[in-house]
Amino acid sequence: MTRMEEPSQHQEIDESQQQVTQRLIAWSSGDAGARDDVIRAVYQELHCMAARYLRLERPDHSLQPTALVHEAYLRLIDQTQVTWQSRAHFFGVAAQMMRRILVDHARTKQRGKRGGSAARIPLDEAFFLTPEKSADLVALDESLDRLAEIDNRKSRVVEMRYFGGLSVEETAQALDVSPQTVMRDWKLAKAWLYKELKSEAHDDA
Amino acid sequence: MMTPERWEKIEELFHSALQRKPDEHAAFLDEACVGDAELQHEVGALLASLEEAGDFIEQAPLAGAVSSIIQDSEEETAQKAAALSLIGRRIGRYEIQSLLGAGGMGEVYLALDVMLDRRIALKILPAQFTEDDAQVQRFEREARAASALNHPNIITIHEIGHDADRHFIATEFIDGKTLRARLTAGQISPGETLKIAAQIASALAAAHSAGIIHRDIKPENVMVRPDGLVKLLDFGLAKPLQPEGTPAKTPASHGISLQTDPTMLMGTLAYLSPEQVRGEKVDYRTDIFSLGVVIYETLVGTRPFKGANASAICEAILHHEPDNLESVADPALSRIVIRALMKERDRRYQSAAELGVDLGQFEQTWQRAPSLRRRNRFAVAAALVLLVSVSLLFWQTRRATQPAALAMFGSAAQKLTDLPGQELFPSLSPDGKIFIFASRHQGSWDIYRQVVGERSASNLTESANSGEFQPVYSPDGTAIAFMSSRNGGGIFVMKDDGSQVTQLTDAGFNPSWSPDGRELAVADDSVWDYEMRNTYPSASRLWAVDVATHQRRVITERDAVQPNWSPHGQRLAFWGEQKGGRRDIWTVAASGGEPTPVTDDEFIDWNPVWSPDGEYLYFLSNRGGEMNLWRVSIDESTGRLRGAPEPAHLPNNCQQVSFARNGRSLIYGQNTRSENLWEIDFDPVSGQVSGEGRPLTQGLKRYTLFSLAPDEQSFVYLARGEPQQDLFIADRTGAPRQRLTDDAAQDIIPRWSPDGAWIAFISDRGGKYEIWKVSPDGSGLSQMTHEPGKEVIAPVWSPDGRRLLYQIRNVNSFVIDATRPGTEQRPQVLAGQPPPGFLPYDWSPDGTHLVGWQPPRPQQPERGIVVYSFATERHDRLTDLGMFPVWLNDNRRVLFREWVNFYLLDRLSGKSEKIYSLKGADQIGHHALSRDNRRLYFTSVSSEADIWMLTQK
Repeated sequence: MTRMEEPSQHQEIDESQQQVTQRLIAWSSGDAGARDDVIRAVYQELHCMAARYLRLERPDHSLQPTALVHEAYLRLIDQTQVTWQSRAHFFGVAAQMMRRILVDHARTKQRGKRGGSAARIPLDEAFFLTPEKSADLVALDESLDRLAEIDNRKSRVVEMRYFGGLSVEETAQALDVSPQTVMRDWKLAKAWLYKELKSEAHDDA
Repeated sequence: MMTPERWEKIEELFHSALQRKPDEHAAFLDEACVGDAELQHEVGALLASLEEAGDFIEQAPLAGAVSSIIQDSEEETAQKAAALSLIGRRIGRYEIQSLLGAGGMGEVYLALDVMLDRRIALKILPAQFTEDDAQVQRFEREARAASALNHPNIITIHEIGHDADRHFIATEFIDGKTLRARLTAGQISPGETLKIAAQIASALAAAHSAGIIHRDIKPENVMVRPDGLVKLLDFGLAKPLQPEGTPAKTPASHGISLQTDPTMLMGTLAYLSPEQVRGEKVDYRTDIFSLGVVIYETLVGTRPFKGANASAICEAILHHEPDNLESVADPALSRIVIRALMKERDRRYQSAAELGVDLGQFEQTWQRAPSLRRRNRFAVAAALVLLVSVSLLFWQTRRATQPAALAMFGSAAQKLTDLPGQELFPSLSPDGKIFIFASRHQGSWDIYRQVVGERSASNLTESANSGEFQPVYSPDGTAIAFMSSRNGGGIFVMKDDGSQVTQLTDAGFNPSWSPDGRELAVADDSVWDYEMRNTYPSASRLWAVDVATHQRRVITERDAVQPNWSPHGQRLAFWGEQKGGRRDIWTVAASGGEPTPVTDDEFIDWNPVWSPDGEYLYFLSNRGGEMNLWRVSIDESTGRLRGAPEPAHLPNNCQQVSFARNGRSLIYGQNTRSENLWEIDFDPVSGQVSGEGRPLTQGLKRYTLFSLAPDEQSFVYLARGEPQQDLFIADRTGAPRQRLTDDAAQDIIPRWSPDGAWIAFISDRGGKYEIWKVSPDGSGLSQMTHEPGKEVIAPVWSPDGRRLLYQIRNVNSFVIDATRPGTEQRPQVLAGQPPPGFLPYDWSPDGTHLVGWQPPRPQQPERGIVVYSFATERHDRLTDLGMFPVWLNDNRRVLFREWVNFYLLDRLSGKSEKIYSLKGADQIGHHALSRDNRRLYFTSVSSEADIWMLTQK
C-alpha cells in the first residue's frame, strides 16, 4: 500500500510544480496575469506549511521565515527549469506573501485581543505579548507602505529581507541591483522606519 | 511632501555622513547643509535613528508570529490539552491546582505557592513563545511595567519568572467575581456602585500617574471581592505614556480603528470612548469615559450607548446623549456620570482622582440624605417602600461600621488662632480642651498653650533663649514632649505648665508618645511639611527613647520620619521616601522588624496619624488632587490594610493633623504660602547690593527653585502648591509662557543651560531620579543621565553648556557630554575625595572650579560651602554655613545664602561676609545672579499658618 501511494504523491507534486514553474516563467517573461496564479499558489503553500510545521511536524522547533520561503520554493518550483530571474521573482513574491500572512495575522490578533470571548476569564492579559508584537507588525507594515510612496525599492528591500528572510545577495538578485546598493538601501530604510515608528509611538501616547 | 530630488539629496548626505566617524557627523552636516536647516535636521535625525535602532528589524519575525497562523480553534484545543497536562504539576514553587481561564495567548491557573502557603494565580506563557528571546523579554518587560502599579485596587504581581521551559507570572489570586458576573446575577445597590466606582477611579488615578492608560475598562475587567475590595485587571491594552524624545524600543501602533469591524464583540465596543471609536490618539481620559459607562450601567442596569449592531453602537457613542439617568439616580450623581461621559474629552473630568473625589463626596452627602431612586424598575409604590428600607439599611450599616471620626467632619471647623505669622504643630490635650502649638511671635520659636475658646496663649518656653517646636501632649495630658535647640539640641519633656524641663536626647525630631507614656518615638530628620526634605533627602532612622532611663533603641533603619504611635501601642506609623523621592507611609511593629507598606504610589502621602480607636490610619495625601486628609482601614496589630484609602474631606491644604485622645476632636493647621521673585542691583566690584529690592511677581503663587534664562527675560520654576507641581516658564512678571511638564512625576531643580537651549532638571518620571532635559519651548524631553539603580541628583551645567556634571547620591560626581542621549554616555568620575554629603552646584565661568555645599545632616557638625579645584582635585570647605553658592565672573568670589541672608565668599582668602538681609519674609527661597553680575534675583518666602479644630457634636 505504502509503496503504491508514494509515487502518486510525487506525481501530484510534480504536476503542481510544473504548473507553478510554468506560470513563474510566464510571469518573468512579461505575462502579468500569471503573477496572480503564482501568488495564489505561494500563499497557499506558505500558509499550509506554517500550520503543518506547528501542528504536527516540528511543534517544538523554531521556524524561520527564511526556511519557509526556501522550502516553499523547493516544493513549488521545478528548479531545473527556471532562470535566476524567475527564481528572484519567486523570492520577491514569497516575501510579499510572508508580509501579508504575518500582518494579516497580527491584525486578527489585535481584533481578537479586543474582542475577547465571554467564556474566558480575562485575567490581566497585560502579560501576553502578542498584541504588542502584532501592533509592531501592523505599524511597520503601514510605515513600509509610506516608504514605498517615497522610494519603492527601499520598501521592497525591507520586505524581502525582513518579511521574506532573504539574504543580501538574494535580495540583490531579486531587485537586479548590486549587494552594495541593497546594503545602502537597507541602512537608510531602517533609519527612516525606526524614526517613523518612534514618532508614531510618541504621537499615540 | 517629499520630492524625489529632496529624497535623493537626503540619501546622498546620509551615506556621505556614514563614511565619516560618528563624532564628525554634526560638523559635516553643518557644512553640507548650509542654509537648509530642515535638511540638516532630517539627515541628522536619520543618522541618530540608525544609531539608536540597534537590531530593529534585523531579526525576521520568528516562530511566535508564524505560529499563530494556525486557526484559533486549533489553538484552543492545544491549550486545553496543555492545561490538562499541567494540573498537579509544579512550576517553580507553584503547585498547579486548576485552570481558571484561558486568555487569547495563555492560560491562567489557580496554584499554591508552596513556600508561602498561599494561593496565587499563575499565568503561563505558551511554550511556542519561549523559544523566542525577544518575545520572552517583552513578556517580562510588560509584566514589569504592570508590576510597577502597586495599588490596593490593582492586581498585584508577585513574581515574573521561569523554570526550565516555561515563563510565567504569579499574581495575587482574587477570590471574587467580575463586575460582569455581579451585574448578570442581579442588582448592585447604589451604595455598592459608588464604592466600586471610587475604587476603580483610585486605581486609574494611580495608573495614570504612573503614565499607564488602561484602555479597556469594562465590567469583565473589574473583580469584586466578597469584602467589597475591587481589583482592576487586564492592563492588556495598557501602554506606558512615553515622554517625548525617549527612545521607543517598542514602536507601537496607533489606537483602535475598528468602528466597522464586525468581529469586535458588541460587549466590548460599548465601553469605548468616542476617541477610541474614531481611531484617534487616546490619552488617560479615555479611561474616565469608559468608567463613566461602567458606572452608568451599574446604576441603571442598561448600557448608556445601545444599538442593534456595531455601527449603531458606535453612532450612539459618538452622537447620542445617555438617557434615563436622571430618572434613576440622584441629580448630583447624574451630573458626575454625565461629566465622565462627555463626548469631548476636554469637558470630561480631567483626572480620575477628581472623579474619585466627587464620587466620595457624593457618597457622603448621600449617606446623610439618601435620595437615590430607582423609579424605572418597580411600580412607584413598591419602589418607595423598597427604596426606603434598602436605603435605611444601607445607611445604618454604614453608620455602624464607621467610627465617629468621619461624621464629625461634617461640622464646621473652628479657627483657634489668627495671629499674623505661623502657628504650627498643634496638639490637643486628651480631653480636647487645651491645645499647644509652636510659634515665633516673640522672635524665636516657642511653645504656647491655649485654652480652646479663648483668644490668648501663654508662652511655656519664654525663658529659654533657644528654639522650641514640635510639642506633643502626653497620653495622660500631664506632660509635653518637644524638640528644642537648647543645650546642643534634642528631645525634651516638661510639665504642661512649662515647669520641670528635662532633656531626654541630643537628637531626634517629631516625637510621638507610646500610649503608656513610657517611651517616645522620634526620627533623625525633622518634618515641618512634606516639602521640606524632598530636594536632597537623606535617610532618617526611627528610634524610641525610654522617658525614665533615656535608653534608646532603633525601630527601623529605613528612611522614616514623623512617627505616630498606635493607640494600643502595637505599631508605629511613619512616612519616608523611596524610589526616587516618592513619599509613602508604612507601619512597623513597635518592637521593630520589617515595615509594612500602607501606601505605595506616586502620590505624596505623609502625616500618618492613627484614629483614637486604632481602626483607621489617617494621612495626608494629594491623591484627590489637592492635599487633603484620607484614611484607610487597618489592622492595628498587623498593619494589614482592610480596604482602599478613602477621602476624609478636610479643607484643602491642611497639615499637621492630630486627634485628641478621647477621639472627639481633631486639630490641624492650614498654611498659605507665597514665594515671589525680586531683583536688586548688585555691584560686582564692591560686592555690595545697592538700592531697594523690586518685586517682579506678586500674589499667592509660589515660584519655587527658579532658574533664569540667560537673557533674564524669563525664568523656569517649579509650581509648588499646585497639585502636580510641574515645571513652567514665566516672563519677568510671572505671567506663564510655557508649561514644561504635565504629570505626577517629581520634577525639581530646573537649571537653564548657559546657552539658553535647554533646561535640565531632576525627575523621577522613569521610576527614580535621573537628570532630564527639555527645550524651553516644551519639546525634546529626554533623559540625560543613565545610571540604572542609582539616584542621580545635582545637575550642574559646564560654562559652555556642552557638558553636565551630576552626582549619584552618596557615591560621587560625574561629568557627561550634554549633547548625547543618556544611554550613550561614558561618565567621567570627578577625581578626588568629596566630603560627606557634598552637593555640587555651580561651575566657575573659567571652568576651573566647582562650588557646592555640605548640607546640615543629623548629628554631623560639618556643613558649609565647599570649593573644588579641577587642577588640585581638592575639595575645601570654606564656611560653616550656607547653601546654593554661585560664582561671580571673577572666578574667585561666591555668593550664597543662609535663611534670610546673603553672603559673599572669597575662595582665596576663605573669608565671607554678610551682604544683605531680607526683611519681612520667612526666608529666601532661591537666588541667581545675572550674567553680568549686576542684578541679584531672589525669591522671598512668606507663610501664614493658622490652627483649626473640628469637634464632634
